Order: sequence, then structure tokens, then C-alpha cells
Amino acid sequence: MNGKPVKGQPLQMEKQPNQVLWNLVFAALLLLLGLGIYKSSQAIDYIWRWDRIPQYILYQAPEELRAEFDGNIEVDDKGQLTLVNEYDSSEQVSFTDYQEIAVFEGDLIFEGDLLATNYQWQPGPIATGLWMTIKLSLVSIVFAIVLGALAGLARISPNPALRHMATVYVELVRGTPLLVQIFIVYFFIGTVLDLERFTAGVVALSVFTGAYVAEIIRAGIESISRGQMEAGRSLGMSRSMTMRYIILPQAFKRVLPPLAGQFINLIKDSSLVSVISLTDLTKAGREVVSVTFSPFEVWFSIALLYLLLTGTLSWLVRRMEVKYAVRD
Amino acid sequence: MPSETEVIIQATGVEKIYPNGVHALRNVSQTIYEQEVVVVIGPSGSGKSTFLRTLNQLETINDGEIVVDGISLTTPGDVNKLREEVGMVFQSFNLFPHLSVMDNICLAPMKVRGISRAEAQERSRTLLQKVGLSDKADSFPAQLSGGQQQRVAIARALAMQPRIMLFDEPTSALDPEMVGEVLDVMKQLAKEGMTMVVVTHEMGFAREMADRVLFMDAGELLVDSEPNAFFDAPKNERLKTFLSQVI
Repeated sequence: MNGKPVKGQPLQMEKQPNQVLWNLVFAALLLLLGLGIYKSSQAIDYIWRWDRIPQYILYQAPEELRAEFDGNIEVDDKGQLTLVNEYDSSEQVSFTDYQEIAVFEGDLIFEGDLLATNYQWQPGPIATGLWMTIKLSLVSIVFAIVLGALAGLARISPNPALRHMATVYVELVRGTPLLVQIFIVYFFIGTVLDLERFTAGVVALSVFTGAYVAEIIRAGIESISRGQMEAGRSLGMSRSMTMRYIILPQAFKRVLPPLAGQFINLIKDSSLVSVISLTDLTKAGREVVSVTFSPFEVWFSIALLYLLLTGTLSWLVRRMEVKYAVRD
Repeated sequence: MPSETEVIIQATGVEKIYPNGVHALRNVSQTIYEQEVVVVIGPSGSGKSTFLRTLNQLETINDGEIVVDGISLTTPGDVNKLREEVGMVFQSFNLFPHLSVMDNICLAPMKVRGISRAEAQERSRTLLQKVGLSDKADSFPAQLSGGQQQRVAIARALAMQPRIMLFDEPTSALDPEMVGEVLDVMKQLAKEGMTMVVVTHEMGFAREMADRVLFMDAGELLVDSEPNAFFDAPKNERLKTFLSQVI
């Protein structure tokens, strides 16, 4: 490696690990891991039936057309098959828009007979559960931000009542398990206030996440140098004005990465709401397992779907970080 | 001459003790007249910055009284009203890093004075021209040199059209070659008749521009004199020692 300096190639001041070699080692380890999983899946007495899974995500639901009266199948003037009432020929039903027609010209039809079937794509239980998880997480994230921002600001407020309230909130929530909180919200608060399951789930998740968001926001605000507040104040701006226009915009950028981590946690923690019979992704998984008797395939699929959600969120936040990082 | 103009800052018997027990100001009294340029010098920890910061209530005082522009700082009131009339320039610039130079200058006049964006921009363009940074309106603070940042900070304070400007070691954080450009802006400001209180280590600036020079040590205001007597014939022993060390 001695010789003339190469443009764009930093001098090696310190011995660096060989990039090619160690990337190969990494690939080999991944390969080994995959092989191990494959081998162990072969070794156990389990019949893998991946083909059963897709229908629980999306399936074609039949929509059947049945005769409402007795009659005959005739061809009408447009050449379409039509059911004509045998007593009152003015009563006719034509079924042109159907994908599968079960009758032929001249058939004698009785009330309740199958005439035609249409197939429509319908979300299966897993897709419905996924949608519930998305809805639950998004709504909870919004409330967690509002709650966390308020509590975070209250934590550094000069007003002792606000400050102590926020501290009590944060300590109470961080000191008890989410599962217990969900039970309390659903069974106690839910009974008192007559909350629906979904509302109870959102309340539990956003109150829980809000406490962590509050701490993140407080730390973010405190990380902005004191000089910024002094500069704002010396220009005649009030404390709240300076907060709003100077401190918070800068703090927001700094708290994005930890906030993203917290929201990823929220998506994962939302699986706990299945204990109050909210059919989220996890509960849907359990239901599908009980129908298919294919727990391995189902839980791997569910894990993949969670990964998809959290991955999307990470990606979105990283894009925001890049967008806001342009200026400094 | 000072005696013919109006008193704008009147400090009487000011005491400041920090919560950690440091006695930063001991019985400081001072009268500053309109259009005066007063330079405060002294060793670090002498209380000169603390004194400056009490003048716009960035530091509260424990005893005594300060009256600025007819508003007493010791009676509770609208401190923001006072700060609108007192501009401040910091050692570490304290520009708002997330805002462009233009927005740094426009923000307070728009939000506090309630002037329109167009008017604020007009005003900041005039001020940027004055500090020689017309071409930097759309830059962000991080893209500017220290000297340029400090000049923007001066423009930002001036945009509020204050009656008094406080400078807290405005050149101490600058590379030596950038000190001149900031001092030039300050000199121009002094010539235009701005009332200025400047804490600095720039003895040249003090000698050239100051109407009076104050010397502080250990929280006490020891010397209050016009610059020639201050530098050429110091009578106070501690001032003599200090000057022999810095010049």
C-alpha cells in the first residue's frame, strides 16, 4: 500500500479491517444461519404448508345469485340468459355481469336455486388485523405526540403544579407494565366512562407512549443551548414565543431519531391490546393458527408484517431527518 | 456632553449573589446618559458580564435598583417591553441556526413589534447593507464565518430599533482577523449616536470610542474615568496591575 497518494483514497493512518474479507465473513454467517433454520425445519416432524397462508390475507369471496321465484331460463332479445317467471312473464331477471353462470337455456328453475356466482377480493383475517394494528398505532401516535409534548413542556415549566403533575404522570406510567395498564384502562376506566375496546386500546397505548415521548421532548429541549433562549428573550420575545419559534423547531430535529424508536415500540406494543379482544394483527394470527393448525407459517408471516410496518416508519423518519438536516 | 443629555440607565447599589453563593456584584452604582459609549473592562470573573446582563434582566438582582429608560427593573412588570428597547449582542453570537439570516433578523420585529413581513424584510435588507452582508440574506448561520455571524447578530438586535445596545464580549470568540470587521460596525454605530454599553478586552476600541471606561474587579466597580486618564494615568493599584498584564 505504499506509493503515491491516490485521489479520494484517504491515507491509512491506522490499520483498518479488510473490507472485502469481513463482508464475505458476514455473508457466510448469514448463509450459515439460513441453512441452520432450513435444516432444523426439515428435521422436525412438521409439514410446512405455506400455501395455506395467502388465503387468510386476501381471498376471493363468492357472491351468489339465487332465484327468488320459479321459472325458466330463456334467451332474451339481446341474446342474454334470463330467468322468466313461469306464472307472470313480465317478471324477469337477467344476470349478465356474473363471472360464473350456473344455468343453461331451457333449465327449469325453482326458488332458491343457484343462478350465478361472482367472486370478489376480500381481506382475510390477517389483513383485517393488520389494518386494525395500523389504525390503532397511527391514532395512538398522534395522541402520544400531543400528550408527550404537553407533559414534556410541563416537566420544565416554572409552575410547580404543572411540573409535579408531569413528573407523577411519567413516573406512574414508566413504573408499571403496559399490560397491567391496558387491563386497568379497559376494565376500570373503560367501565366508568363506558369506553369502547378500540378507544380503551388507544388510551392505554397513547398514555403509555406519551410518558416516554415527554421525557424525549424534555431532553431535546434541554439540549438546546441556554444562549438560544437568552437571545430570544433579549429581543423582547416572551418565554412561550421563544419556545415556539426558536427552541421547539431545533429540538424537534434532535428528538426525531429517539421518537422514531418510541413509535416503533408502540407498533410492537400494540400487540398487547389483543388481551382486550381487539382483533389486531397478533390476535388475527392466533385465530388463523386455530383454524389452520400451521403455527409456524402464521407466526413467521405475522412477524414479517410487523417488520414491514416498523421498517416503513423507520424509513419515513430517516427521510424526514435528511430533509431537516440540510441546513446544519 | 453627557451632562446635557438625558439619563437612560440608572443603577444604584446593585447586589448580585448567584444561587451557588458567588457574590458577583457588590454595591455597583452607575449612571449612563443617552448617546454615551461606556466600555466595561476587568479580569474574568470580575462581574462585568453579570452587570451587563442585569441591565436587560437576563440576570435578576438581589438588592439595589436599576432604572432603564424610565422603567424600574425591580418592580415586577412587563420585562419584554423593556427588552424591546435594549438590544443585546452575545459573545457566542446565539444566532438561530434553523433560520436563514433574513429570518433571524425578521422574526422578532414581526412577532414582537407586529410589523408586516415585507416591512421587516425591507428593514433587514437595510441593516444587512449597513453591516456589509447584503449578499448573505439567504444563507444559514452555519455557512457564515464568526465575524459574519456576529455582524448578523448586531443587525438582528438593531432590527428591533432599540435605544440602548449591550455588547457582551462581542469579539472574544472570534479569530483575530475577524475582530476588525465587528469593531468597525460597532464604531459606526457609536458615531450614529447609539447608547452603548460594551464589555470587551479590546483596549484599542475602548481608547478610541469610549466616552467613559469602567474597571471592575471582584464584583466591585473600582474606576469610572474618561479613556485617556484611564489608560495613561491610572491611579487605582488593581487597575495598574491589570493594565500591565493586558497591554
